[in-house]
Amino acid sequence: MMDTTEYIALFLEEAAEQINILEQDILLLEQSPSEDVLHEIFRAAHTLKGSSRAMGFTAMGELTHAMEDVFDALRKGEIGVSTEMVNRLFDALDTLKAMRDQIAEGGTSNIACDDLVRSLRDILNDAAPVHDDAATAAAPQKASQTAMVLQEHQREAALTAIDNGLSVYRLTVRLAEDTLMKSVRALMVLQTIDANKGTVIASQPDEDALDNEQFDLSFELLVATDKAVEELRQILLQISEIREVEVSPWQKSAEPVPTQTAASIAAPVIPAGQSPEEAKHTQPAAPPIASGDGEKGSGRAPVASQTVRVDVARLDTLLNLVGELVIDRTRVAQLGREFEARFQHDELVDSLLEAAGHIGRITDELQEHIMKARMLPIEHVFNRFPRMIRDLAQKFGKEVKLIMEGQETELDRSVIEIISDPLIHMLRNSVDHGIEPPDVRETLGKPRQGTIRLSARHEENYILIEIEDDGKGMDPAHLREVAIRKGVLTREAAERLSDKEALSLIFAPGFSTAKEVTEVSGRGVGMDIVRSNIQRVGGLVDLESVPGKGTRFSIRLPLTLAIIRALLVRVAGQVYAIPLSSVLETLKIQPEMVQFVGRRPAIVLRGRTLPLVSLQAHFYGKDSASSFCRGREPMFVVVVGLGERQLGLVVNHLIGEQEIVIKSLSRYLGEISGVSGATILGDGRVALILEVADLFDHASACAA
Amino acid sequence: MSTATMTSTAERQVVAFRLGNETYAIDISYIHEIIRMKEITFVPRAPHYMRGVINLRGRIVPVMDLSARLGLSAQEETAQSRIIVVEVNGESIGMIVDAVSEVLRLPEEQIEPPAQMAGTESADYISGLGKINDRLVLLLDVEKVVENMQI
Repeated sequence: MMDTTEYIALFLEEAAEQINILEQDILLLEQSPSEDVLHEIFRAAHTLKGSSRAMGFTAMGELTHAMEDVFDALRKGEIGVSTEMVNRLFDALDTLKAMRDQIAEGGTSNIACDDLVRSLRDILNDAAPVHDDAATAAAPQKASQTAMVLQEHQREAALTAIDNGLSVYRLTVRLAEDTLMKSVRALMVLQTIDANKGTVIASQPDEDALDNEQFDLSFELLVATDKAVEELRQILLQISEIREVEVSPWQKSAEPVPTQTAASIAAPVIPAGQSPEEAKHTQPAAPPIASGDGEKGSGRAPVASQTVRVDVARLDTLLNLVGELVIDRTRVAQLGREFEARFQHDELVDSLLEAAGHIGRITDELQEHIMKARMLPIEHVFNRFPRMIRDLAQKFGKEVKLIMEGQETELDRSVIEIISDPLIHMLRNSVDHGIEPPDVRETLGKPRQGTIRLSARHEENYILIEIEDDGKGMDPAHLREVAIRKGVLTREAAERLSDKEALSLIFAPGFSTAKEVTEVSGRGVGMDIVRSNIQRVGGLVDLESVPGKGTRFSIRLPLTLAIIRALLVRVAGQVYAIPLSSVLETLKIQPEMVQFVGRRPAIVLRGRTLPLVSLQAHFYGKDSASSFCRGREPMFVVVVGLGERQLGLVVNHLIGEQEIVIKSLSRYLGEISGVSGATILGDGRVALILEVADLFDHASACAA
Repeated sequence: MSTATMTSTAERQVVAFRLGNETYAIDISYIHEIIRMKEITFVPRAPHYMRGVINLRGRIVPVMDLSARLGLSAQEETAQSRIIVVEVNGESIGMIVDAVSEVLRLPEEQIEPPAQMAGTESADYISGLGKINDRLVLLLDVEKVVENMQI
């Protein structure tokens, strides 16, 4: 009996991967069941079945076996895809996930799946055979022992691979004569090909027979890969008990062809012996990790790259340490300047400054690399959305297509954790309230299927995430009415709002436009929470909407939460940090330039009225107007922007720019309007970090 | 509860400190450290009894004026003033007290329920009355002092 404990971690990881593939492919199955998808999905179920059985998780093996049978029947065209089938497959998938999680926690799983297995088997029993002669014709012919006969879909897969610039090889693998577990070796060969981005298009005998050791000492494979012949051969020869691997390029004309039509498809055959460089050259640019249109690259197999797994807590500790280092670097630089001022060009001072400069550069680099190590593709959040949208659409009787772009965009894992819930909420809203029911859409002249586009991309030091739907949009007039009815605003205030400001009302606390609270949208999380979550990490959320056409939310997030550049200013003797990302410019103005619109102070800047907020008034409760009236001293104004809006913050002094490490304020302090966190300065004192968005709210509230 | 309460003679270890003319005490298991007064960064718009935040070896820790929190009259800051940093539910918070006197062992049988305190402002935050050599020690319920602080 093999001791399996050390393999469990590996198994769990692989299982998670296969479950992920299954989830994505079941979705694709429902949308556009292409040959590639059918092939891949079958392989995923098959792999999972094999590994769970090998590890002794029989229930899991049973369930994946039942799934595999369904995929097999689909692949062979014996049954068609139905919503009911997809639902059952998803149920099975959820159970697989639960089993995996249980194994991850306790090493075993006791989840029963008999009913599920039965319901999957019923699909096969209930399904009337598809009356399609073509499908029947393509059904598998029992391959003879002598030559590998390709089925139509396998042949097409081979041709497609060649079209995509891959090479297709016939491999004959011979095992050593005393090989004990032939099926294990065969499986290792398949997995090695997989791990090297190769795709097994066909095998002789078929994979089930390989699994059950129904072969002599050799088997044949048809493999698509970007590797050269010798490279592939050497990789496979490294597996023990493999005696010989013969590789020859696949010639489409040399294959017995089951149907005549396929033979007329011309495809260039990559000559054997092509160098890897050349092969790479002819290969088209790597397909995007997953594009929204249902096309699947065949090479999604995990790449064995030079990586190590690191505990997140360890990365967090590293980042904290670097944060401390950044603070101390600033402190050392400051001390250096003080020494310089006191001792002029003393030799020791020069050495100190030099060392300080070096430490500074090293710290910068260290910080940059650790930041990078913490980056994750946003895929980690996006992955679960296709399934979620599908389930929601079904629940609400909508038809929705989700298009995702830019999943490979990387951002700090702390930002990833925080962005997940707001995105879920906004997507739910889009399905629930944005997209109209199919019949309604039809009468409006729109396609029955609504589209939600979710995209992520980098823009300067930000990541921009957009959620766009082609649903019914929002009407500013309607939002004003709702706001008045709910007591969020007075009628006068509401009427003064521009259309854009009226749209922003959905972010106001206590505002929800849902006519009825549905199970999904009414989870007690409003758009106000969404916005405050995003703002808490220094992000911005904005929306545009055209009634009848749709709505677009834009979320702007910092790449990282930990360290930012800030402008330090002094207000009432205390230092405050303003994130440089919101600072547009700084001004020095004379008191007489301040004008009053009602009781609101403002200046005219390049022809535009710039409202002013005195931070001293905001934070220390002084009357705003009076703080502008006294004194002849010039004033310093920091112009900050939020979307298209601008605001001038009046401060006592400008200190300068500095990199700061963001620390959260204790929850014991509650939510402080205008403050998002704190940082420790070079001299050890604490400075508060301004929350610019709050100040804009405050300014509009004053106007109302 | 601290292991001290588990012993057969059942006693509680507390840190006694002074607020105005009264002696208060906090169960020692809550106490993280006791530091001298240091520069406190004022946090605007926080509850009135919050003095601000301090830098405690790289951590930002909020500091409250315990007298103000308990509704007692404000006290002048002196050389004896201290910040007691307690940890409640994994979060640290500092409390300014007028002076820290000693660590006491209070036998359970000498602790009375705070019934007779009813009516005074700070009564809500007192979990019991201890007696030591005719001295009265008010046992502070730290969790109550800290909970529901947000506005």
